Amino acid sequence: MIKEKSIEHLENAAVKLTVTIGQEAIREEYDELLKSYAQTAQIKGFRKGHVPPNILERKFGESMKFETSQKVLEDSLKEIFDEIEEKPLPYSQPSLEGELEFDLEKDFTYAVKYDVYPEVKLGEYKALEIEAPQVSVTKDDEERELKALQDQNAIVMEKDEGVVETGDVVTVDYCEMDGDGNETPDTRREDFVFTQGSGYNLYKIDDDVIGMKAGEDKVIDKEFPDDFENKDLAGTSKKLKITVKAIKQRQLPDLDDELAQDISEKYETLADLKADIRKRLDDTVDGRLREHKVNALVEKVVATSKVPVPESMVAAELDSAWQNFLRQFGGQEEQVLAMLQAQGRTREDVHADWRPGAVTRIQGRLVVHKLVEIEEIEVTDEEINADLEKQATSESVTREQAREYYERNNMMDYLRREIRERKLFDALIEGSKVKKGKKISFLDLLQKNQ
Amino acid sequence: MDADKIVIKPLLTEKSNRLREVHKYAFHVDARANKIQIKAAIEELFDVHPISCTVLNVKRKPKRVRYRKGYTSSWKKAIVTLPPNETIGIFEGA
Repeated sequence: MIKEKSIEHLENAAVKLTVTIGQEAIREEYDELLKSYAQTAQIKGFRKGHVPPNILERKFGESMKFETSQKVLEDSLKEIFDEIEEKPLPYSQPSLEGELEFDLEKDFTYAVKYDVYPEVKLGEYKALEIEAPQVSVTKDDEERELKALQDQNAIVMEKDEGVVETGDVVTVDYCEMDGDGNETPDTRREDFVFTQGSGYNLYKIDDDVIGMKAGEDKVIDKEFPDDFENKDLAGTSKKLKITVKAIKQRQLPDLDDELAQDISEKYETLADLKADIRKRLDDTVDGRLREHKVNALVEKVVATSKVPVPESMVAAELDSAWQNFLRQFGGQEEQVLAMLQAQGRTREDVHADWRPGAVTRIQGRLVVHKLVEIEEIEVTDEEINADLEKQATSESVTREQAREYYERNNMMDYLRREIRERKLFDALIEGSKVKKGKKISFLDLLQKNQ
Repeated sequence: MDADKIVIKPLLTEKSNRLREVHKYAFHVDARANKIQIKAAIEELFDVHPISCTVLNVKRKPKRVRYRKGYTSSWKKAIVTLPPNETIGIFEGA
């Protein structure tokens, strides 16, 4: 039924398809529709199935013509898409260009626009030069981790005797007093708990409680500087009554083998724990550096490649980002929109902000995809098994269970792709020259990649 | 009486559809109109020249809605014969 078709490539992987359909085909389609209507239509004054076509045409002619045009359009599009190589992207709905001119007595011509998978022209991707920062895990980093563990395992003990010391957890009542020494009831707080030295209290009384006993009360004059963080208090002076109700002491566990065993059964001695921390830090650094290199590589390749980004891809990416955004706020779309409106922004503004990032991400993905294709990277079953094995160990399940999990969730392809990309990146990094960048510390690295 | 008051609506039914073969066209008309008035009205409205006009009164029919009895309205039907070379558009499906 298709008489003519022409495909015109536009910018950004968009395609304009012009199709002409012969008049006979349209007539045929129309008559068929008319016949089917004639059999079922019920019009007053006629028995079912006895309505003459001309009456039907008079009553429903326009809508039938429209229906025919839609049907012809859909059928022909389907036929074409089954035939041609460059299929439209799944999220790119072909959209009509211009007005439809439909006449039963004439050939029917229409044009649709849609996006196809973009043709990526790769630039240089072998032997690239990238810069990777130099990071070494120092003793300090190790100590910090260990300290954090120690902190997590601290025991808080009630202190019956003695006075408040640095780092203690104190429970206090406090209230402001007016000039005559009477309490202002509105400002009274009871059983307020804070850690001395943390500053997590309204009047910053950390230093004032030091040396107080449990059960003791004290009236202090506190002056607040003009640049005090609480605007209401800045530049004022207050008389405060503080009652210490309880003091608790944080007892840090000793750094010894016992602590190591407490943290996990894996460790026997403190040395084991330390070694493990070291290993974990090293792994983190390796992972981060690899990520950094991969990003740098992809960025380089994208920079030298020609990567057209179809509009529909960007739209899909933005939409998924938007969905993520909604999920992060855990709210309904209306709520989030209202919130944005309060900031004087709309969804379109946010999308516009995200757009460059989205385009970069898509370009990266397209390039990686193309590279996988060009380098003909295949994944063998052994590699999949090895990967499953690894995952199984870290999740402490058997390999079969891991495999089952992936198969049940239809994630085998995903795994395959992941391995393929990993192999690609390995090869890329292997083939590239890594220039030593400037030295940065472990903490900087963590922050940089976040 | 005005022409558009006399002719209420064309009758489009299977039967009236068949009548077209013998150049007859059926209308629902005002019950007070006579043949002469109807002919003139058709002539004025559709720009045709009726040869003859027959009329009949469609009797009211008993009708019941639940327990309430009543009748459908009676009305006048007119069948107009045109010369073979003339047609009325609204019947032809144009």
